[in-house]
Amino acid sequence: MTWALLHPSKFRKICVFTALACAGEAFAATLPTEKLNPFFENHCIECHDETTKKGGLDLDALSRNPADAETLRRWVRVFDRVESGEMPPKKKERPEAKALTAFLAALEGPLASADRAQRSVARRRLNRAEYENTVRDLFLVRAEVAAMLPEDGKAHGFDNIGEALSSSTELVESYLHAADVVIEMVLGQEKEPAHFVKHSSFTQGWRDRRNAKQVFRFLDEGVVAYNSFQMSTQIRNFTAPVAGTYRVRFHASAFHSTVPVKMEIGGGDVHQSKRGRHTIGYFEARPDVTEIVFEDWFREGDGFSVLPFGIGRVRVGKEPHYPGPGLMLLDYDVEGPLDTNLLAGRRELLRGVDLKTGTLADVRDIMARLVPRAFRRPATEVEIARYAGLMKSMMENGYSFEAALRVGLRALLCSPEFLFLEERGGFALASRLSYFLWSSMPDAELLDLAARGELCQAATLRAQTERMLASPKAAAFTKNFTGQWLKLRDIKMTEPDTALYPEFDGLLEYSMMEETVRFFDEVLRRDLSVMEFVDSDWSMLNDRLAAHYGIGGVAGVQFRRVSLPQDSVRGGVMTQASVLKVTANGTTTSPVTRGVWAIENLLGIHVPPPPPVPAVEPDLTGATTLRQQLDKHRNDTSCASCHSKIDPPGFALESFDPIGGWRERYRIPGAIAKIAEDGDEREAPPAYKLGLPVDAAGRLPTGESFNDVREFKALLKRDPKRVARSVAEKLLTYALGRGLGFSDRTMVQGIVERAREKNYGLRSLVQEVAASVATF
Amino acid sequence: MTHPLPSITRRQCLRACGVALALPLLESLLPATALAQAAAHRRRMVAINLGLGFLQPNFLPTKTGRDFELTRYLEVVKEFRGDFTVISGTSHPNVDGGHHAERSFLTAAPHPGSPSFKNSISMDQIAAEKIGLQTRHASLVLGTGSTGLSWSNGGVEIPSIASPSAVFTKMFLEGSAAEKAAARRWLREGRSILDLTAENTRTVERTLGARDREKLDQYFTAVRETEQRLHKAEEWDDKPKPKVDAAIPTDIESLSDVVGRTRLLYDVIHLALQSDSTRIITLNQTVPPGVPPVEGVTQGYHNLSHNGKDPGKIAELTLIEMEQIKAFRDFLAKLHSTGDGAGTLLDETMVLLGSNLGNANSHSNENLPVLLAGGGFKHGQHLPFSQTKNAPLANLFVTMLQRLGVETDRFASSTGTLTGLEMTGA
Repeated sequence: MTWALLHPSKFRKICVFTALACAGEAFAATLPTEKLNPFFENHCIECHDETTKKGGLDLDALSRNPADAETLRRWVRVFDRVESGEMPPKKKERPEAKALTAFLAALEGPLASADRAQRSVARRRLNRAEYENTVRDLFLVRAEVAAMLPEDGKAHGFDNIGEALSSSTELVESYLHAADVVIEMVLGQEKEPAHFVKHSSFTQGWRDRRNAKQVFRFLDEGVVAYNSFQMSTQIRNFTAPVAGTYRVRFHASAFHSTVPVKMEIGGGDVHQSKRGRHTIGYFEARPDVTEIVFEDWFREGDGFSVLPFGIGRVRVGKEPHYPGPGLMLLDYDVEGPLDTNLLAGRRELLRGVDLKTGTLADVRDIMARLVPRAFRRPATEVEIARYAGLMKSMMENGYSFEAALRVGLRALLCSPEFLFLEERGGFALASRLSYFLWSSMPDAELLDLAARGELCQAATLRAQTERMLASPKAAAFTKNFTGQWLKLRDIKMTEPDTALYPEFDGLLEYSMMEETVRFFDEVLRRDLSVMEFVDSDWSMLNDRLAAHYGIGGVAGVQFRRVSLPQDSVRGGVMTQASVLKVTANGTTTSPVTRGVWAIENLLGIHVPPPPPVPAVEPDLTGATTLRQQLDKHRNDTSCASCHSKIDPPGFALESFDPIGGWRERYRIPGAIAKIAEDGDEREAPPAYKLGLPVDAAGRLPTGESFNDVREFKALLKRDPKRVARSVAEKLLTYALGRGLGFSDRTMVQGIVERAREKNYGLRSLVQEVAASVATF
Repeated sequence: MTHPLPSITRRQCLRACGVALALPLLESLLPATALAQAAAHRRRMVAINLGLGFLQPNFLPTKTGRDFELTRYLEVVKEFRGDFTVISGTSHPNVDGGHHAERSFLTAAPHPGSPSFKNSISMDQIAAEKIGLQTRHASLVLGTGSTGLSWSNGGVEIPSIASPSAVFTKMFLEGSAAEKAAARRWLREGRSILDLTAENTRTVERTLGARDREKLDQYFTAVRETEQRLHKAEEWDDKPKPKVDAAIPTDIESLSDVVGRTRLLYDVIHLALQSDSTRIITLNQTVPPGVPPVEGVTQGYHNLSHNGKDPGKIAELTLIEMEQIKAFRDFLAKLHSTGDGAGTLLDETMVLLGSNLGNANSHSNENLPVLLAGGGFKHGQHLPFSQTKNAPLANLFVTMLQRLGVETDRFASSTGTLTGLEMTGA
């Protein structure tokens, strides 16, 4: 690795151009009073002087030096309201176009400078997801340490924003503990674990067959699983002896069924569920013998579970002649670990050094290789000596080589150079790109290009962005960006009311997530327009979701791109069940919550938190709708200024219930389902009634009215630039790890302008954002 | 490659020698007489947040003052009527965001649901800074889910512990000799690592601008404080852990059995207070998933809380909330029956029971249900504030902090102490 040996003076040269770019703005600017005052005198001061102070604004008293955040904020507001034509108010005389342009021009430059000075990027700490990914790439091990670290603070909608990432003793202590886990994974294992294939049958390995017969049917050829009321129908047959990737291949068939039977395959700690389990996927067994294959990462002690899904509920121990469908499970193979080099991290770190006989010279070599990679830039002699020196003195005082190495590594993982991203220079660009698209450290190729000073060249940057997006590591971008932009992380926050929404089930929730993630990936991969997020004539569906949406002709649990019917209300992210679920509370929907979501995330309109007003209380008795209750305070003029923007999308989306199903009337509770005397619930008839009809009509603040969500989306589609700008702002905020300000507007405009040629393609926008972060 | 080994500073070397050879200097803890004196004035607190709150009519009396009537829930705790105060008409100004407000329950930081929310230190941690050094654990942060109530300086979450057996192990079980030696070595190594990191401060900071320094300064401060904390842990490590007359609890795995999980945590809280392992404890019962195993309950707890004024749902919700208040009653009874010097543990311990939701059906964060028991106040009353113009809940926190011996007259959005709540004795 040549860059690791670069002399510091060399990489300083590389960064020179970015430093120069900023230097021109470094002086603090006061506003040019002589250019502004004539405009104020003619158009503003009548209302905004010290006596009238309309809207609390006294232009005489407002400081002409916007060096502090509050003064700057007020001046930006002056700029925005004059620019948008809100000020001077309509009933007053309009300023001449020339005077207006001159006024705005005189204000714009100094405000941008002042904003830039305040917005110089605060050094940003890795958040916990980034920390986990970074140690994965640094040591080539899969250490699940994110959950060991405290929750990260959020700002501007994301958890990778420097200003919100604070430090505390809890954080430092958890870094020490997390480092231990990582180091143990690297050094704890000496031999590559044996690769094996286990062949077995689901009829084997039952500890308590008598109990199992309550819920399974044991036949000669296999075990028939049913959908009972507990999780006891899960098969938990296999325990991973060591951590690694395993492939499971098994045979199953639909029993007493002419149609396929579905199943949920779970992974993780299925035996004790202490460390958590997850859904690997949903599969189907046909009536004939079907082979099912999946791969997953297992920790030591993990296993997999098979749970039939979507068939009637029964306890076959009580009904031995039950004729309904079941899932016949036959034989299975487990092969693994498939990873060919689980010890790669150890080998890379030690390069042949024996932990038992390592010497002081080895210490220096190890640290000289590792420290630059951990710091994501060349390291100085002093920096290397810091860690080598610590280890040396420990060894001189009786510590073994291995014990000293562990302390040295722990110290390295607690160092600020590892934990905090540098924000300037060519190497910082490599990091910024990799944390943007991979949520992890830059690889050798990026750092080599940075060392050669080539990364900032437009063509190289473009090629690298493409390479990074094509890497499997880019899944972190989809996961972390959509998880927060579209709030998908909240998907499990609410559990829908089982009486009102009996059709809700695990497969539906799983499918909702899959749809949105795959939709985003499809838009990204094909460089489709960001307007697809507003409306699209296709989506990514499986049979469960298609049934939920009332779309025919989709069979099977696997996802595929489906063309939506001509008049479909679906299309775009707003009408996807995931987004509709995370913007509801499980029982009721609020036009305000959904409206705020839509205008903030798709239109880029930021609404301030509401003033303290009594909250409206959802009423399920059917007497009144939330919309009717809201009407009262919307008619209040002080509420109307925000609600005229918030409510329209919320009203349009009232046609969708809390789980994203279409509705024309609200559901209200009927009789509560009874529990049968033997403790087993029976399939109960729907325990809801239909209440008041939905009113999904509304009027935009600009005056156009719509009758339903289709018409609403059609109105939004007229302004692609606004949507593109909103998405660009989110991407840039996420990429820079900071909130955007006045001085970033030109950059955002540039990104949007250039992406326009590509029909506002998402991939083009990401490319433009990557190119823009290179200019900092 | 042959590189000359870098020279090591004298400080580095000395420190490393200390790491490898010497046992840490054993500074004597508080002298025995000081401990005895402190016993007479021990002040403790437990702050509990129930994420879904209470159905107000079942909880809140309509009559105020000392003649308040026993509502359905208060009936359950009637034997302690003289030991608690029901406080109505309080909330945190500008704290909204429904369930998100649990993060602000003890911090009062505004707009916890907003995308730019930044938390601040919680009142229990201010108390822990003041009196935490007197006990083995400065504070104990518990939660039935993943979110706790405690936030340190700078608004960083303090991870909460959900497992009662883990708390029990940490507080009362001695490891083997080998485990103890390893733990001690870990602490020593940790200190030298942090020392090295802290020394690095100046080299790193020299190259930075003011804004960059701000975040790093915070990190270095945290590093230095952690070093001190490990030092304290080393000192406590030399003292045997207290023995308690209880067996290690068996954790309840089911997240939906939230009352069962809470009961087990109440039990370890009682042990922690009794053994004086800590005097500052917080417990968050975050919104649980699933249907709790309460007879007659068929729907999820969270979902029932969105009752939509539906009588069937309200009836089921009442069943769960009755279990909540019964568990709380049993907790108070345990504190009451434990004697500790001058009075009962309840007399010494302020137990705050409240919720970040005033009304789960509307997700309202106003008119929070609040009950303060024990801790040396003139209790036995319903203390009402305006339902339409709430008093800041932080005023109660100031009163509580003062009771704990923290000399302060403000916390977050407070405007003073809580009017009408008077201390007894010293």
